[in-house]
Amino acid sequence: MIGHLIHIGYPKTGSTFLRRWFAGHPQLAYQGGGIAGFANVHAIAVQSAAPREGLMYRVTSSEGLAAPDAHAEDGLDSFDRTGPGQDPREQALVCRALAELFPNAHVLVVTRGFRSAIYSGYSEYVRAGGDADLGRFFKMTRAVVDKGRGVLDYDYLIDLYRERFGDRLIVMPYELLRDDPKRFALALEEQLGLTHHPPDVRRENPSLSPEELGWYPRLARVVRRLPFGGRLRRRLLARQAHDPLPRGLRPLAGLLTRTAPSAAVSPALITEEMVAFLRGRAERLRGHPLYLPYAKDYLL
Amino acid sequence: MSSGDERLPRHLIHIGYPKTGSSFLQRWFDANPHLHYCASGFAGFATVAELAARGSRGDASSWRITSFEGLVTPVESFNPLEGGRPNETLFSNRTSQDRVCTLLGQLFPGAKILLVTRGFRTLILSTYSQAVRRGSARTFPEFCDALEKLVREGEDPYHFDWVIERYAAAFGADNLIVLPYELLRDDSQAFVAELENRLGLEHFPAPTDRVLPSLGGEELYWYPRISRFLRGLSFGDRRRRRLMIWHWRAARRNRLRPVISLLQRVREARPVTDALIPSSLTERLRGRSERLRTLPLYAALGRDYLFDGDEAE
Repeated sequence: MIGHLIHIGYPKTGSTFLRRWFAGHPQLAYQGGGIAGFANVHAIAVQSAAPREGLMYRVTSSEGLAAPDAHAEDGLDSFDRTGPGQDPREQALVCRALAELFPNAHVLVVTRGFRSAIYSGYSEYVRAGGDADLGRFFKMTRAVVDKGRGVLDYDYLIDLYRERFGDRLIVMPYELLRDDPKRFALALEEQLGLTHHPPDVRRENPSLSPEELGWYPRLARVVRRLPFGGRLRRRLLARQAHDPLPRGLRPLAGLLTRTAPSAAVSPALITEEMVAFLRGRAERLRGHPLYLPYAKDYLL
Repeated sequence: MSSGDERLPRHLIHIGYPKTGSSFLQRWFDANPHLHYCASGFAGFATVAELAARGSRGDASSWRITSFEGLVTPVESFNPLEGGRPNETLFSNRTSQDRVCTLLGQLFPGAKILLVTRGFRTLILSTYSQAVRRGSARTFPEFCDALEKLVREGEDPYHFDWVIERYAAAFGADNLIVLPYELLRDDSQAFVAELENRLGLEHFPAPTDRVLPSLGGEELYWYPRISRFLRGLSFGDRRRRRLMIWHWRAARRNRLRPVISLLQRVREARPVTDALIPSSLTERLRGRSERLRTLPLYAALGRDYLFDGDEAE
């Protein structure tokens, strides 16, 4: 029997690396954006007529499954789209939809320690054109928690999926992938009963540099204040959503970064106290062998 | 509000057969507000990102639909041209059918299956029409010979009893809906009402326009001969490929109808009709739809489905 592995995220936990590995592994069938390794339903018929030998799992992968965005097309403020908050109700609906459609699937969740996840989340927010500095970003994140929206609530997500998928839920730390990709792949292969396929350790989609994180939000604020007409502003902001800055301002950002590096926003600025409000959201990971070296990252 | 308060839509997989009103059904799936359908997608989702976004909104529809008629007749390629040459794959086979059923059962064990059948004579003729539209150069006798060979080897894809048993075993007999194309052809509103009844849906009217009429008998005779003539011309690969694309497009839209009328006047040929289906083939197909015999909707269709003991017209 060929199994189905659904990789649900979280965002910024090495998804690009994993997808490259899925695509290269001879015992896995993966198609970017597709479902169960199929680009569309036609591919089921075609691949069944000419099946691939040795296949053990078909793979579906989207980090949006752990952090769904029901309003992606509604043009909400970029913080809502890219901030670290997740709506628990939306997470539950996606989990139920997956369980209803694919009740026999294995589910892979990759988590990331809180400080690093917040820092990376800030980088994503800035990439998407966010103009808040780190301090305001934290305040907005806290406000999200106060409004009842979840933030990196691993226990909640694990309970959701454990209830529907039982022992077929696999939870792994991003930190292992970051420190030792080969061991990460071996651990996943062991859980799925796969033979070893070495991962390609090329790094893609790296976070913004601390200097860029310092300057981009400031420049984004300037761009937003420029006296454009409505149409031009909309076009510029739409472009900004795909690119941290309008292309014409990139050299300026580079120049500022070189001349005033003191504005850098480094991971060290995020202290343990700042993320203390997230304590108690990763208790299900306590005692998990793969998480023992990273207990501090998860405030365990 | 807890997500547990909301009723989740179920999943219906429409697997075919080809030439049994799939385009009609897909238009109905698409327009029906109680159904969530996306052409070529899975359960109404084109991509996994869409599943994440729309799945998280909840869903007011009653059923999520996957629909592709080729699921019950899988082949290695559905492209009319392969490497610049016409794809002459005419039939699926039992082994591939079995693999698709296994795969769907493993992936979507909770789904309901919709199978639309069609009486053998019109199914053969219409399948030939589809092959001709795709640029096939096979004549009708050659087509029937190829099918008969598969039937003799037990590898043809038209063993309705086998397909029904296979899907009933994989999904449960209660999760298999089998309906006759003849009902859709004769009374599309009744067909839709029957399907709605089986799915517990509120009524939504059927579309009324016909999308892709089959080719006429004369056209079925001449298109393959034109295709063969064009293939015999000594062109370079590139020019031949362009010519094949032109012919495929012309056949698909029946653009050569005036030329064929002229050819028919110059040299009258016997139109291709189901009367040309050899009795040796129909006799081999007899008794392969016995599971339909007891279904009320098939009661008057014994001759179409070649039930044992019912004489063919």
